[in-house]
Amino acid sequence: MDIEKEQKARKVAIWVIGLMTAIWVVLSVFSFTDTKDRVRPRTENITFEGVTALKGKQVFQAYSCMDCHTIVGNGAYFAPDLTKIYEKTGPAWLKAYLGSPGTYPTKAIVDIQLKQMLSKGQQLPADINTYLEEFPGAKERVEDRGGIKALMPNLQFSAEEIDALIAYFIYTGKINTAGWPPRVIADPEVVADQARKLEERSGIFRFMSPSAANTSQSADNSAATAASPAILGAQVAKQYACTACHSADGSKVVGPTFKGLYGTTVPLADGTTAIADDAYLAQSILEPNAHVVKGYQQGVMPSFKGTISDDQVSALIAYIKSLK
Amino acid sequence: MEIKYNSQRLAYPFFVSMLILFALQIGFGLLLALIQMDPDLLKGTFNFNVARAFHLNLAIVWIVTGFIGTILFVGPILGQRDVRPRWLAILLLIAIWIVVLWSIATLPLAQVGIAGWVGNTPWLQQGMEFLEGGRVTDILLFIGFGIFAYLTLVMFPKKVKRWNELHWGLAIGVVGLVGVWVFTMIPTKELDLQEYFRWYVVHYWVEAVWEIIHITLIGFLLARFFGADDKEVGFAVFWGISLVVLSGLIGNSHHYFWIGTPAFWQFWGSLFSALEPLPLIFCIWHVYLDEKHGVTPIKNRAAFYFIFGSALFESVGAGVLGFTMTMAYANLWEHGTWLTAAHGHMALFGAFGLLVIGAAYEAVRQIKGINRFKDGMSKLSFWMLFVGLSGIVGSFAFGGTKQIYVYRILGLDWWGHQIRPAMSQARVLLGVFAFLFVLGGIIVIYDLLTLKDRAISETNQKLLDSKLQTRGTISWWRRSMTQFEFAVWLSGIWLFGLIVTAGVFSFNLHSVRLGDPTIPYIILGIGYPGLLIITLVFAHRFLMAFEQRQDLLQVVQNFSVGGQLQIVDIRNKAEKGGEREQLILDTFNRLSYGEAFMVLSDRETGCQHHTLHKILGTTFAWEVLEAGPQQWKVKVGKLN
Repeated sequence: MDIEKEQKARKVAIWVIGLMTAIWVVLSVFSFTDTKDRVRPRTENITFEGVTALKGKQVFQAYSCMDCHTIVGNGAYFAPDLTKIYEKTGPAWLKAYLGSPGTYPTKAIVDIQLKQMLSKGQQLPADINTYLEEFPGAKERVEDRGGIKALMPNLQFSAEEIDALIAYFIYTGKINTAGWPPRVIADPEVVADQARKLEERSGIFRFMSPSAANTSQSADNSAATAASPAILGAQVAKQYACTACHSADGSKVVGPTFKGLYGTTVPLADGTTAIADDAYLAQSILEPNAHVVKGYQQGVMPSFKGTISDDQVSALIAYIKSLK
Repeated sequence: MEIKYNSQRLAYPFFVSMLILFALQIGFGLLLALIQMDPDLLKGTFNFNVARAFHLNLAIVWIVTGFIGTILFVGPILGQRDVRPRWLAILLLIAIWIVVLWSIATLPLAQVGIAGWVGNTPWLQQGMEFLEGGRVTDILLFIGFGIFAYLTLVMFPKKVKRWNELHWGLAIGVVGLVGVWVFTMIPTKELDLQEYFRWYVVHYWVEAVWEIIHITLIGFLLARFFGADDKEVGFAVFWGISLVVLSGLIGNSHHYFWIGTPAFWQFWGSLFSALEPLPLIFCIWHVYLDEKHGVTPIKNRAAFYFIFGSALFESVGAGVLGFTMTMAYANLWEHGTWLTAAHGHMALFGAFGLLVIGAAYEAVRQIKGINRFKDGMSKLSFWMLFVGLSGIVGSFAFGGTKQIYVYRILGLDWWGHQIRPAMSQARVLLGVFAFLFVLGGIIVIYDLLTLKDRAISETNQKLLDSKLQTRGTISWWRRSMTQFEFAVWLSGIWLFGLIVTAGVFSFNLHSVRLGDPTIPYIILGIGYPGLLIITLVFAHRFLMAFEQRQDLLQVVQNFSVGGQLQIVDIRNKAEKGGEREQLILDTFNRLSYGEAFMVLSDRETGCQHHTLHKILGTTFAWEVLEAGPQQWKVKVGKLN
């Protein structure tokens, strides 16, 4: 090979690489400079319930969410992309879900979270049905999945972490992702048909989709007749997805288990104790944060005051009593 | 080449550490595959994300440990001096294990949501894909990479003018390793900037720095194996690296399509990252050329298997599979699905993992003082890893294709009841091939750690050589591969690559978007299996031809050793007019495969070699037995 020619070619190559670097720097600077048409959303300027999205970003990283989920498409593909989750489900569904991510929240629970948010002066649809119309992702989730086990492990987020994550999802929703993910324009009939086929097929590989087994169960019980207060209470527990957090078999999920709870002495976070009698249980349902059990998170359980009737409370207590 | 500098032996504990970390990494990989099948497995005890953080981080750590081992092994030869100071190299080994133990302690904190935030700095772990370690880990690694760069650079000649391309390649590599790592420590408040810098580390590592190290090491190892000319290898290394930088520098834009950065990146990313396969094609072409260059048999065929596999998978996994998804309108669909994992596994393990395993084979052979070893187990593990990896990639491609349809086209997003069932066959396949892969991994680890047990004594070696079959009919698979045939294979691989690309693009079709997946399913159903199968068949063909050539070289080398070799005396022929060459050629043409004769000359034989090369290509062996000053003796043998 001609050495001189080769030397020349090499010099040119090095110059071209220099030019590329310059182009790169210019493009990068442009990308992160705000213009009139394009302002990057900032995590510090976006808050939910007084918590910033920056805090949310930190929570998101602390739990290493992107090693199961994806965010702006980057991550583990083991769980759904979360970039636009806020637009789909809104804050009430997110708050209901993140309190107990092991189970999909029911409509009643989302309703309770919505009412609490409204009482704090949040700008949201005034009633649950309008809310569900506005956030079709929430509607689909409460209607199809409400009360069904989700694949996500129960991470026991604190109330502040939940608000922080919601703030973060408000932020990620505002990111201009240049048209990704592509808009769905599929024929709704095809979508419904395929969804049905997939849900049927989930039975074939049931050992791989344990949550699939729960679907049929949850559908059955609604037909049961209310013979005794305890059975009625079990239905109420299902309606409000109480067992998403409080197990009936003694295991710890998010809150204390119902099993063998009635009549025991409960240690409280403030150092005192309480006896789990009718009055205590009723108060725990209506004003859950008045006395939090030692070792559990403050502010995670929503108040059921105004949502649940006195009869339902008594039925629930009867149900808890029956779980020995 | 045999051990020249005592400090080359320092590489050994690095390779042993590498194998332990590799075992851990594929163990976590298998666990992840099992969790993919049963999502409740270990849920709450050891969540998927923690296992994945280990899987990714260990992948980086074991491969870098392998790079360190390799460079400590080849560095003294390149720099013509020992590794020094010795204690620093030992400290580096300890540092690696400190980082590993620290990561084992901190990464599981993701399960309870503790990152160790102080201000906006996560000290314990940071939940960023590939870079899950916290700032403490980052700093430890920064120091480690710094030590590594220092150790490498002080081995090289003091005067930079005396450096050749191999010195430059490794120098840029080790300095780049540290330089790029700095970007992992920049605290960011917004996701777009976080991702922007995260890809500085991830992309510029695997698509620039690691590739530069990869090209240089392959160049060096092949030059040593096959006696290729340093200048020619230097030429290949320079242009290989330049192409990597030319395409990869702006090619990083393909990570900036959808992360909140402006749309103009789609243009730059599509254009330049489509060029990224060029250096990889260039690299495998040179592997082909270098392999043909060898005129004496190599002692370590197993190492060449892995090195060839590395260049091939780099070309297919990084080059072809990368190309299929890199242009914006394909990336729009592929992004955030299993198709990315298909590319990632083949590009990372295939290109870098196989290379360091190949380097380990050569290093362990020399350090343990083995001349040749029984390589049946090594080759078995190679094929198991090869098929296992291809199967893993195929499973991801299969699952990813279904995922795009259900998740992106139909917009269904219920993981438990819609996405999982759609991908369940792919998950079963993934598990099966992951199992095969792990078995291959266990065998290769065992083989390397006990390589000495398989060393072949000289008497046994002679016995084995005498059994080599050379005459009679050679099966098609073992016949020499011409440049034309090699080009046809590469074109075939790229043809399937283009079919896959068309398949990914076809998700843009209106009919597909309305809900009919037939077209992409058919195209990708042909493209992906076709690509993986042609790659496997090509590898088999190439390595069989390699085996045949090596066998013949061996036979030629042994041909009538101790007996009388026919002597072709060219001393009394005129130097000009081609009489000498003609005599050699005439004798050559009367030979059978595997036979040889000896040329006796009174001058340098370079001219004759050159002429023969022009006429015969690479079908002859040329072993210089005596090189002047009174007489020159060359053993010339006939290969196919």
